[in-house]
Amino acid sequence: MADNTNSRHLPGDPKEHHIVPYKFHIGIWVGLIILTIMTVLVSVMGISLVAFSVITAMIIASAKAVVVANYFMHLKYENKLITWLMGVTLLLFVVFISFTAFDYITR
Amino acid sequence: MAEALSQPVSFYQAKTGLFSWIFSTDHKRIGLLYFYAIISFFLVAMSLGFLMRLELIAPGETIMDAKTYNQVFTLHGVIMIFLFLIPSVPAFFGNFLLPLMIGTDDVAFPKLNLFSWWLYVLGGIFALLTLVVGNGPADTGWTFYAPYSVKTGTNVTMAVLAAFILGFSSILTGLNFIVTIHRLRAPKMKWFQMPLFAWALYATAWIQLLATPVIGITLLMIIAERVFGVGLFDPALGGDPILYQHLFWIYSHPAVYIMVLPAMGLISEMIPTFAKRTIFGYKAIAYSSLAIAFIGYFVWGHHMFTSGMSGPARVIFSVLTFLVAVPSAIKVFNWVATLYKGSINVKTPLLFSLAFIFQFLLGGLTGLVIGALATDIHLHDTYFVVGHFHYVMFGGAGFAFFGALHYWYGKIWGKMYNESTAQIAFWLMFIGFNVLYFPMLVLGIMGMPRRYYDYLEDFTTLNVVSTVGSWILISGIILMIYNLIVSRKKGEAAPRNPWGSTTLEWQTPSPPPLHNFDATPVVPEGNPYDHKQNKSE
Repeated sequence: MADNTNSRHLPGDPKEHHIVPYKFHIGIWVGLIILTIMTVLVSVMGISLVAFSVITAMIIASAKAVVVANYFMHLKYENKLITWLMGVTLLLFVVFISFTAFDYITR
Repeated sequence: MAEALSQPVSFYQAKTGLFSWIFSTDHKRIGLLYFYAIISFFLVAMSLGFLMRLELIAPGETIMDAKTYNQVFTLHGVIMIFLFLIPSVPAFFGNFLLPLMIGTDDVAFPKLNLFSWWLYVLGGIFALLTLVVGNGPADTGWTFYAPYSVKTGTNVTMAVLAAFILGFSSILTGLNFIVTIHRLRAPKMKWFQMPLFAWALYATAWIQLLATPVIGITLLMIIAERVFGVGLFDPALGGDPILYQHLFWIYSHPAVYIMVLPAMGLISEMIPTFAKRTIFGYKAIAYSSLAIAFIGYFVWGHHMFTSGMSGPARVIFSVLTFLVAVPSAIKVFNWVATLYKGSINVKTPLLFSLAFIFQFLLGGLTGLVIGALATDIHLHDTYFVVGHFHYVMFGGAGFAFFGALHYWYGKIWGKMYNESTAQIAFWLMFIGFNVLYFPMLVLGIMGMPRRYYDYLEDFTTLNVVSTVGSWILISGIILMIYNLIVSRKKGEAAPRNPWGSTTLEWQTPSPPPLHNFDATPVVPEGNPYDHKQNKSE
């Protein structure tokens, strides 16, 4: 379909692809390793504070997930819409878990 | 566009032979493959429904025993839900029409599209195999509630596997539509210049993508329970049956909107055409599709008011349920407002659309009755619920499907159907439908429980009326299908735009050529339903 070839393009598609140097990716990877080590240290050293070590581990894990999504999965360089949709998905997941948990807590 | 100048080869003639169909990556052919499979399953499940009504014509055992009846209503539900309603509008009309409506040559991932059809066929085969393999088809109801589904000797594992595979088919269709709508719209077509059917498909696709994995996991948990005795849902092993109901309805309530949202999209296409008028409240209808999809995720607990869920949770779910009524009512008001002072052309698709509005309204309002916690305690698991969801699912989604079948018949098959026969079939279906399902609402209020092959003498009269209704309805459906089959051979050739519609699929010949458009389609400026721009047609 010769005269409709440009239909396979997102309106407002970023014209140039963002190129990230290897060094930057390695830096992110090192950062993730450091966060992993922190998780281990908290669980080993914080035995007396079980609840806190769980919360700390969750916070660190969430931070890692944000970094991976933003840099390794290129969310940071994508259309803002994709970030929004990702947020909505996360919100729904939280709703599923919390509404079900609410039934159990109040039963 | 002069008709005689360009009469290109249609997608039917471009290639021939069985393999050119079952391995085709053309969205129109895949849509039709879906259609023939879906309509076959519909006829199977319709026959099962007919047998159930026949059993219920008199109290006591009439034509089948209790266990057979349980298996028949389970198979009727599984086929109607997973093999007819969920794929019907998106997989057939969506596949066929979406690329045409947004002015492109195919969906974003044509091979994935073909794969999803094959998954659908595989799932369908598994569902039918339960008839002959193992100890007969499941007798649990389409909801597979634990712990009974874990304990029954019937072939639940295979039925659940079928639903699991069909879920993947649905996810892939949803993914395909999201990417297609984001990436492949015709040059210059902005989001708010898309037809409302595309908006409805977009909202539906997000439900397919985000909710279906939950049912996938839940169904695998049932298999794990049955095969390995894990103890997730069985109280004897420390499990919780209500957890199953949560997980099941987290998917299956949004799935209700997978069934009805695209059908609403079809209605939004047909009404402006036959009212010869711009649709009233375009943006309100587009946004209300998204709102229904979003709010639909928050209300699943209203299926569980009597199952032992906590009091506060029941109240919250009941309140949230009422929120869905708002965007649904926005749509109904906008459709009615579109008809107001329109130049109305009464053709079969419009009749089906009007029947949709009437029946969906009844289904929606009875939904409020059972969404309210206090009344639901009385009506739960009675025939009121059966009447309610048939009004929404068949009276709504089903009638929209058949209306759309007439509306786009010319575009898809290149011939026009016989109008007067179609109208007779419509009236038979409309009368039959209401005679069949309205008595169920009354029976439910009287207290007749659902899912039994037997009932008290007091309920006999209304059950006889209901069964007679099923005969009228089925004769209407048979006449409609006969008319459509005969018109395929004997109908007049369909022009590009038989109804004077404004959306892009009517700019191309009927049936469309392989690559959909012989020239880049011209996107009308502003509102896609502006009939003033279209006066020359």
